[in-house]
Amino acid sequence: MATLINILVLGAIWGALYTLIAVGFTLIFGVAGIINLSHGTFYMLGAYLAYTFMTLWKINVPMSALMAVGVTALVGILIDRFGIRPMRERHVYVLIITLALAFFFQELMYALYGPHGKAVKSFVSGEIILANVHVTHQKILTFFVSGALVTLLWFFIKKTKTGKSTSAVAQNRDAAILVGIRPERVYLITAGISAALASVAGVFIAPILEAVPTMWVFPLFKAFAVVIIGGLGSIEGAIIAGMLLGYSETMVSVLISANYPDMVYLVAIILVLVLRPRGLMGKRAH
Amino acid sequence: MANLEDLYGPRVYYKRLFGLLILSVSVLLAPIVVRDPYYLELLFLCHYYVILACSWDLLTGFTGNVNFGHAFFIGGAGFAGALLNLHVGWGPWLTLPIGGLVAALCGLLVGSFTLRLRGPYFAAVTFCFATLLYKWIMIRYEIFGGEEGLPGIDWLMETPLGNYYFSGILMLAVISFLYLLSKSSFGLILRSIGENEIASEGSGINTTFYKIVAFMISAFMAGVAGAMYGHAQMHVGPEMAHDSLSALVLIMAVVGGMGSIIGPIIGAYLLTLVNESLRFMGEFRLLIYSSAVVAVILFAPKGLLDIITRGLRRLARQETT
Repeated sequence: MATLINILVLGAIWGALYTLIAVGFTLIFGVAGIINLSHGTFYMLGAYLAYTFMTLWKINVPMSALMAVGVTALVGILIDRFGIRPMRERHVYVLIITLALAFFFQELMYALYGPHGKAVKSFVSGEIILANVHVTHQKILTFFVSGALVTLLWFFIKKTKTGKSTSAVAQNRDAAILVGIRPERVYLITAGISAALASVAGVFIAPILEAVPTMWVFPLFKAFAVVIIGGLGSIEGAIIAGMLLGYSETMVSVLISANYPDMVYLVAIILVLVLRPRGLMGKRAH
Repeated sequence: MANLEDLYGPRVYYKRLFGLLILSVSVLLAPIVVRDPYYLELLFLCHYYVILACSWDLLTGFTGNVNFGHAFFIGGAGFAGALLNLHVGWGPWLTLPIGGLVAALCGLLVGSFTLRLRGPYFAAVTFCFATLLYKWIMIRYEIFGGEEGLPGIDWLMETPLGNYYFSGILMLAVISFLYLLSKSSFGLILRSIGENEIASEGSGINTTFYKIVAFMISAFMAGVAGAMYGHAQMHVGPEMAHDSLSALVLIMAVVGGMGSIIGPIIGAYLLTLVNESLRFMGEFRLLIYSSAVVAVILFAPKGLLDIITRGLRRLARQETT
């Protein structure tokens, strides 16, 4: 019983977090055709900025979370404007510049904060106990915030004018220009949203895991996996695949060994790419 | 589109051959000036990275399929060679070619599954294979030694000078081979795939076959280099299969200039030497290094080679007027 609850609860929390990280990754791919390897960096910036504002500067939690997300979104927009825009059409270039930037930010964090983990105090204290399984309120909060943000993103894209213009650019850039949408502006907005979502995940993970300079690698892998399994560019796919990955990793980790969960996503990526390259919900492999 | 005259014309042919000759002579004669073992080791590292960057460039620079997991071949062959050396007792003369063959077979396996995928998908799969190997090394520590790696491998040559010459000659062999390859119809086909894969397919070329062969050759060279590195250090560690090595090789080739053989050579030498010479900066070394890399990619997206050749052309034009 405890095992089952453990899998259900932890799987849901990790799944929600993966989804939150991956929707931004898939959004910017779907809209701008960019594989942004510095996506994990936004997550890392979220965690470090949360540490800076909350622990070092002693600003209250909601304010510092907002500031951390805002600053990261700004960084995302600047990277898109000055790093990616000049060569947006060349995939190889975009992969390489974003990878180089990810390493740059890693070293910047080393230089600023040192190699040791930086802990942030939990936003909410306490825990609930379900059949001998301890779940901290922090994790529950993370789950609900992730769920709410993914839902909000969904409504933004389907219902608002700006959101609709992003899907218009994703579907057909030239037609979008003809009806008066400026694609470069849409790209900037998308880059900002994408960075902000990853940053939220980082802010909320900071009290659970510590902030370290190499922490950008793990969410990047996970986002990559979720997006490939779900289908590049598909938000529905990212939600399904994110939850699937969260549950399957927790299952492997609880039932088999804590060594193997990382194998799950790597094998899943390879299998999906070999058997069904467009992913579960993807439109077209190319 | 690269001008064919630029690539295959006789003038360029002799110019390149001349460049190769100068490089060979300077590599072979350098130990007359450089005697300090520290510098010989450093140059050994340069040779190692040149082989890696050039072999990476054969697939990615020529055909445009980004290989994000070169460490899969380097580490795989390094560990294969080390295990054969430790358990079967084969010396470097056997483990180097066998390491290369193991890597080439892995290349065949990975390539035949994935080279029909394009763009980011291929990059993702190569990356996954390398990470899988890395995790596997960490999990099966009783075989691979985990984080410590496997020490006590036979040495390659007995002295740093021996290592220097061995790696130098191997590097020159790789460069000459790649040079001949790029002049052959095989090289032309690879370039045509890089320019427009669909058009190449339409011209009756089995592009997947050529990409797999290029991937295998690339893997073979990386494998030999990996096994050589293991013997020269007398130790193999999991960092030989780590993503940061894949990224380093990629960055070297890109900073130098992809798709030209000279570019990755420049990139590998330059970054290895810069990285070493920044050592006095202490903890800020990697920050400076990585910001320099970002700056080069931002301001010279085609690599340093492009900047150098443009600069030389401008100089030449000024002299004639």
